[in-house]
Amino acid sequence: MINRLIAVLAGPLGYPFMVRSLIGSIIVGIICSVVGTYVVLKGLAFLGDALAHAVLPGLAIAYFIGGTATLPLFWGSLTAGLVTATGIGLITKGGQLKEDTAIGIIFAGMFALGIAIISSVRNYSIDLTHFLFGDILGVSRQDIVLAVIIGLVVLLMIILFYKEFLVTVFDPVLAKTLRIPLRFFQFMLLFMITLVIVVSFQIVGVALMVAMLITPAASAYLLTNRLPSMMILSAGFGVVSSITGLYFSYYFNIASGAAIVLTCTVIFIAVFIFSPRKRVFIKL
Amino acid sequence: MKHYLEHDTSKPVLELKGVTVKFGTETILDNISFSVKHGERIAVVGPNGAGKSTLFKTIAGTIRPGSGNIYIYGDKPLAHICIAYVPQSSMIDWDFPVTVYDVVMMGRTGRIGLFKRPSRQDREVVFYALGVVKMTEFADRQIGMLSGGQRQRVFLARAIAQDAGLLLMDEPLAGLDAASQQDIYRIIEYLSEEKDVTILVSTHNLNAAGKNFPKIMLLNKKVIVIGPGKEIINTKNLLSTFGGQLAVIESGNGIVAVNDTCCSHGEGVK
Repeated sequence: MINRLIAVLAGPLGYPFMVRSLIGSIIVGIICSVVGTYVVLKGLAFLGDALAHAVLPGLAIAYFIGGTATLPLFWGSLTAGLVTATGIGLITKGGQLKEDTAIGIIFAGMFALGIAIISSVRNYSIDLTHFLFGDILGVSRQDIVLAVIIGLVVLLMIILFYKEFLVTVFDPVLAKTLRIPLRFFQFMLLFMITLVIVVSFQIVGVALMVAMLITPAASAYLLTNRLPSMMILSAGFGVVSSITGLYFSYYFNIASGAAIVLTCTVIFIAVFIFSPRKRVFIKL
Repeated sequence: MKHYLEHDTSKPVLELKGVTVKFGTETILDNISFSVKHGERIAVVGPNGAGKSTLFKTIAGTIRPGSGNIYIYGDKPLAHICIAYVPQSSMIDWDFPVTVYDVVMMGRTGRIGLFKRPSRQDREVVFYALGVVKMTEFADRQIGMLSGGQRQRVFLARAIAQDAGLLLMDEPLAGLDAASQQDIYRIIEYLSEEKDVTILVSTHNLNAAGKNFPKIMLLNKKVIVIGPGKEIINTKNLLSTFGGQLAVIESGNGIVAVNDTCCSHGEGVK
């Protein structure tokens, strides 16, 4: 019985590409789910999808310069992502436009700019959407190293600036009266989310990145009363979904990304039905 | 350089000189001038859209006036970290995953400093503040699970933990029952009389303001008048503050003012 279980668990691990995608999706699961708590709390669910498209001009320029190498493409999209994030930050600065409006404006403009750049090169034949919608089964060693580095940087920032980010997100006016550099931390949070989004969608693809960013954090939101526990639980959901999804995909021959996203969704539905907050809500 | 400035108590805590705030072409605050002495307790009364929230945010430093000057202990806004602004309840995300303890600890953030964790002293200050507002037993509760009065007390505790010298409360009494309002008044009184905190509270309720505050400011884009309730509440001042929204009936033994706003707590739509 136990031998059989070990055989089932070890099955996919005989393939190096499965091991790499397992490690890749676990890392992406952790960083997306943790950063996703801020995305959910700030109501920026739209940001992930928008940024993944807004990086197109950066991706296009990087491709014409460096071809299909991972690093130039990463730097190209990161630059475009940071330009987008800065634009969103600047447009919302005066408080006249809401963040989702700003995201919509910049994302459409950047995406169009990308198309314009690509279409202006006459012998353009390669399909850049391949890079836009990475594949979880095509994770390379370099992808994993990159994700680990970015992940550690982001997690360290979240720990170091925990209380500043908390005040910035929960009560910006308090941050200002306490002389905490509000704009600085708002931009930093936006940059951090951008960093995670850019590195994640290139490794696992847009759909899986968006799901990892929003769904585990939303599930954790329904179950916890404090931000640190929300982050830990969210990361747990992300990891469990990655592992379960990949094993399902291996044994039942389902597309890997879809299997992981569906696991996230099933967890959310279960939490939504059984969450204690919901029960309180019904009682009222 | 010190992170925050010491107070010069010989100067007024708060002084506004010709402060004007405009949003686009609309004037929200028009040439506001007044000064507040150390330890004063003032109710700011005016109808919807009178600019009460804008006035508080301008003092707190989150809105920059188009013209005029504001001095807090003789310095510009945002020079001190001792100004506590308690926002209107509707501005808070009550579903946010923070406990009562977390919210009160936020008041310490500026003093704890970058990269540091709250010390034992910070935790003691937080529990002292919770004790003052009688919320100690709710420390671990998520803020959405509190009643209206309890929610206001949490934000008062945060102001205490912040060591606030100047407390600005925007409509803290809106939607509270009489008993909860009394609780809030008692805490405000305690802070003012025992802790020398200078307090400005905005409210619609002229009657309660008269009873609980030594001084009242009538505001409607301009400062109509500021002074002790008994001296300033008269037909002329009330009409210039509330205009058509108020019917004033003078009788032999006093003034009856009938507030004619559309909604019970004066919140929301005009």
